[in-house]
Formats: sequence, C-alpha cells, structure tokens
Amino acid sequence: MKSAGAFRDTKLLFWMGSLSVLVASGLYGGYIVVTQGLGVTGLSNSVVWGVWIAADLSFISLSAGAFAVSALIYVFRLGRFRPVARAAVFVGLIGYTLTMLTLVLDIGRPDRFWYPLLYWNNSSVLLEIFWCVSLYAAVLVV
Amino acid sequence: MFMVEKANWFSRRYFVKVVAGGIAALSLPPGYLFLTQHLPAQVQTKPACAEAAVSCGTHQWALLIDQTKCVGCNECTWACKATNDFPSDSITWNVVYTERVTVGGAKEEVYLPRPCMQCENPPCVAACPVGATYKRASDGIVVIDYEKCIGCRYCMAACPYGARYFNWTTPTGKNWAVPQFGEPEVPRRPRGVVEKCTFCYQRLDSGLAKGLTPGVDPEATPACVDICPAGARFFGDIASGKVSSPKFGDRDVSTFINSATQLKSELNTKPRVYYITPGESQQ
Repeated sequence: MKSAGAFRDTKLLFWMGSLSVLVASGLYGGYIVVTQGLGVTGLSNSVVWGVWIAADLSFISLSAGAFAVSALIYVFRLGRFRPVARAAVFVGLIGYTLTMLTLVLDIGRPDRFWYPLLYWNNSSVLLEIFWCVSLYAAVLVV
Repeated sequence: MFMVEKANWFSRRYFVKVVAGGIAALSLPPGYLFLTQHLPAQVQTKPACAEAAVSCGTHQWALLIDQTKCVGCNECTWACKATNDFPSDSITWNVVYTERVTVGGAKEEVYLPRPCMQCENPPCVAACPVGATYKRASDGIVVIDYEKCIGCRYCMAACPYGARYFNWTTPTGKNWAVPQFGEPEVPRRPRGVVEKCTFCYQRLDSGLAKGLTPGVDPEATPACVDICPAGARFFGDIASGKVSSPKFGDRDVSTFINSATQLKSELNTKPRVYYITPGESQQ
C-alpha cells in the first residue's frame, strides 16, 4: 500500500514536473512575443497566418467535441453519458481558454483585443468568430 | 476523478462565482473611465480639403500604368519607401514584378508594378472585424485607421493582390531611401498593425486644399507618379476625362478605359488601377 502510494507520488511528480516545464517555456515564449513582436515567429507578409491559427483551430475543435458531448447530456438528456459530463464541460473550458490565449498572442496588438466588443463590422466573419468564442467561453466559466 | 470532489464542488463553484463577480464589479468603474477617455479618435474621416473652398467630395482617383513604357527601374518603389517611410525592406507598398515572356521568338522582360488597387469593392474592408480599414467617403481611397487595427491580418488573407503589409517588428532605424528618393511625409506606423499604399492621400488632400490638380502639380501627385522616369504612370480623376503625369503630360481616359486591363477583374473588386499591357499596344 505504501509502495503504491510512493509510486503514485513519483508519477504525479513526474507529470507535474514536465507539465510545469512546458507551461514555463510557453509563458516565456508568450513574453517574448509580447515584448518583441510577432517578428520572432518567422511569419512573413506572404505567409501571414501560421501555427497560431492551426493551434487555435485545434483547440476550437476540441471544445466543439466537448460541446457536442455536453449537449448530448444536458440538452438531450442521454443519461448514459453522464459520467463524462463534467469532464466534457471542463475540456470545453480549457479548449476555449487556450483558444483565446492563442488569439490574443496572435494579433499584432494584444492590447486592443477587446476592440471587436465596440467596433462592429458586420460583414466580417472574424467578428462572428470573436463573439462566438467569447460568449461560449463566458457560458463555460459560469 | 471529477465525481470524487462532489462534496466540496458547491463551495468551489461559489468561490469562483464570488471571485469572478468581484473582479467584474471592481473593473467596471476604471474600465468605464478607460473606455470614455482612451477611445481612438476617428481620424482621417474628414479630408483637409473639406474645409477649403475646393470641393473634394466627388473624386474618383485612378492610376494608369503603361507596361509598354515601364523599364522596371523600381524608382516608384523607392520613392514610395521614402515618402511613406518604411525602413524595413520586408515592406514595399509598391512592388515591380518581372516576367520573362517570348514575343515573336525573342525573349523579353515585362514589368508589372503593383500598388494597392484601391478597389471600389474592396474585400479587405469587408473582412476587417473592427472596421479599421475603410473606404474614404470623399474619394473612395481605401485607408487604415492605425489606432483601431488589432493586427489580426484577416485583411491580408482577403486581399487578392497581396498589397497589404504587416509590421512584424517596430519600424526603427534609418530608411536608406531617404533622402535620395524623397522625404517622409507620414509618421511611421506602430508595430502590430497592417499598412498599404494610400495613393499618397496626404498629397491629394493638401494639394486640393491649395487648389492644385493631382496628376498635374507634382506636389499634389502620388510620389510614384512624380518620380517615374519612363512615363509609365499617370494619375488623375477619371471623371475629369484625363489622367496625367507631371513630366509626361495627359492621357485621355477614352483611349484606355475600354481596352485597359484590371488585375483579377473577374473577382469583381473593380480596381482603380488600370494597366496598358504589351499585347494591347501592338494592336
């Protein structure tokens, strides 16, 4: 019993340690992008959207799956999915948090990320994306 | 694993709610103050000539590029670089593309200068989520409000001509094109916003305010048209019936309006830049 607990602790320590390294390097990367600008990404005027958008879309699709599962449970009342209900909502929240973080870092002026709240250009698809992302994230947080 | 925490779930949710509500409530008053005091002013909506006696409400500026005259010297590119002041060589509002073609067995180079097309139906304006890029009401020139642009670069993805450029880094350092090709007339843009050719609207506005005619008076004409040594660029109000170059005189609109080429006109962008291609001159 004791040895199993110790094993579990080492495992936990290992995962937490590696995750912390990942998070720390991510934070450092974000710091570099915010202070030095998007020039450090190697993107150019001919390739304007890069891994940011790919990552962002992956997070959105992850959340979309979570959203579908949550809908099965909470809207359509499919009881046999109930064991994963909270996990689904939580994954959705994580996915959308990461989406918003990625987008804020991706735009050239992170200090102006909230401008779409005020200035609406109704013909823009991105405006709709912005609103969907923020509203769904707000719902998830609550 | 999520079910185990059922006992204290309610209290944690309560905690999250209280914290979130507290942050929201605390940030409301300073947020309101910030919004009311730091909103970007609507710049550039009113051209300088609006106050002058000259009316500038009905201009339809057009640029004619004669590829049969262009020698590919790139002076338009450098004059633009100096006038609009972008020190980085990764930004060039005007580009001269070179293509090798075979005409009657002989190999020739054909040059395609490409500024912003100043579309009447601009895809970039439709794409911008915050409306930072827009057509000026006075003359339809597509400009960017650098105080409003959030740098998402959606407009660059939308532009069929690749005419938009992003400030990946803060523009610093010496602009090598100054003073050989001109002096800067507009402030440098900050890092993280998109920029592009403006038809040198600062020259058009100040020139019209002084009663000058863009295309005829160098002071009121875009820098690329002024400097072109080959007579390949003509600028003017298409409604006036002619486009002009300060050095090379006038071209009647009627001589090219039906035969000139517009780049990617099949996209219905309705560019205001017209090209006389080498093929047309031989007919």
